[in-house]
Amino acid sequence: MKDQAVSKVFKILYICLIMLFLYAPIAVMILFSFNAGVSRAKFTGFSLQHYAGMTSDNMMLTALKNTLIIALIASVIATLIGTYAAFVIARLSPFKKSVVLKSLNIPMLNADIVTGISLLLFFVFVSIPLGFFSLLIAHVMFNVPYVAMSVLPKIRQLNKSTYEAALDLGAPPALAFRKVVLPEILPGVVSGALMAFTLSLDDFIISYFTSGADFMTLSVYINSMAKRSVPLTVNALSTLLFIVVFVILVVINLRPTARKAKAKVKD
Amino acid sequence: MTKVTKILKNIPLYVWILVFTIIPLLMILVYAVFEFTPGGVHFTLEPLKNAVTNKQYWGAMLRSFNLAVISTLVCLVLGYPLAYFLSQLPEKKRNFVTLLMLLPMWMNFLIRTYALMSLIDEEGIVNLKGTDAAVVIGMVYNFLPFLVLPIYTSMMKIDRNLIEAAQDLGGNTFHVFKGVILPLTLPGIISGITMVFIPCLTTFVIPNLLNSKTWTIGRLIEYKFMSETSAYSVSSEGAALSFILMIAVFICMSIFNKLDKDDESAGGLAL
Repeated sequence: MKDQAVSKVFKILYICLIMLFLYAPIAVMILFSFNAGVSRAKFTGFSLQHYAGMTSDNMMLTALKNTLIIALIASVIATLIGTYAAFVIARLSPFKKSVVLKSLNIPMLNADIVTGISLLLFFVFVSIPLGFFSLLIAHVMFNVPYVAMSVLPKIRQLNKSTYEAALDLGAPPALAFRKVVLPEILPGVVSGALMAFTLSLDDFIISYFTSGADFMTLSVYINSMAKRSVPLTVNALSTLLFIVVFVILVVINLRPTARKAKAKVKD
Repeated sequence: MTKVTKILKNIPLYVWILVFTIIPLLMILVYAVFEFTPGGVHFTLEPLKNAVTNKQYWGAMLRSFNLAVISTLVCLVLGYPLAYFLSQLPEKKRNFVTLLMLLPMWMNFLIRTYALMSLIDEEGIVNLKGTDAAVVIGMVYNFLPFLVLPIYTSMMKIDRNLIEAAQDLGGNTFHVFKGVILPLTLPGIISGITMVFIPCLTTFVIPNLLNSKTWTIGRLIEYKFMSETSAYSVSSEGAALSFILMIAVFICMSIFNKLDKDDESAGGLAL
């Protein structure tokens, strides 16, 4: 009994230590966003100046805007292409399916630096200038397999008879698709789209090689400043984004349990 | 007729994969063996030969490999117990800790690594500036959750009855772990290693920030393409190095893949 208590304390302590390791840098980052000075090493007093300074840091705001625009457009296009890809793949013969899946998934498994370099050389070869357009293509390209892999299991679970029943009852194929197929696969489509969006937001390496000098995403901007010093307005922005993500995640994670609790009550 | 329309429906996907995945990868080889000059295009094996024979490049490759092996092992040693302990928590706590572990991944990893840097340089808790230890810490810090999650998922899939059966048959904690939990989480371990090893092998950001004295293969390639003051420069030597790295990555992937498959078939036989 005593042994169990000791081992339980040890386990909790271990989890806490790892969490400390994961969160210490984030705590430092948040702390220095409130620094009265501009140093990243010496905390000289509390101030909100870096939060106020965000509104006039045009380079950072442009980079943030670019990041959001690319992530939004790329995830929408990737969701369309990825869903289409999943439908095609689901109907292929086993051999073809394995070949197509393996090649589609290359960007998911390959090293980002190799994907980035390969796209850079491709754009140079076909003379697509680096900028918004090349970056968008790159993001769509690495997002598509994630969407396809997220939709594919839902298509496998589809019951073909319901779609055929809808057709038999006189629904045109488009309506049958919208009313019968789409609701079934929608969870996969939505989670694929969300994954694509966050992957786009977070990407640095592929963006770095394919964005060129004039169109910067937030990651590329931070990297370009890292050679000198990253201004603390970036800390302030990161802190705000962190809080937003935290709130969203908590809300998302609380909702299903609330639903589960309801379901339990009903049972 | 329907067969024709079916093929027509599939063609855009094939074109997509060909144009945006296969051809770009081939471009790496193209730029490694062809020199594009205003005078024309000519074939040369010099960059590839140089990439294979240059001692400095081999040193960088070997160093990256060592750093990746060490970082992956550290991740495994730290992450496996974490996944194990996590799976034993009551559901609510478990979900909360998993959420906590995922949350940092939603923050820009550059800014996180930048903050980590301030903790392990001259003014930080320990001064590891410019050492390989700093690079390993940086990699573990960035990639640990990617290793923990697949192991944790495979642990949650274990049928509790199996563990209880092993206990009923007289197995102590160690026996249960070795006989039931470890073999059943092996697929999770392999996919976790896959998720961590390749990024560790190829990253250039983490060594750039934490130890700029260390040449890794990733840093070398980045330097070849991006060191110019203009946005980029096309480097045939960089392409040759990328090609070799790509081959190395594909070899690693197929080894991991094979391990995974062997494991599945072994499981099948055991059942």
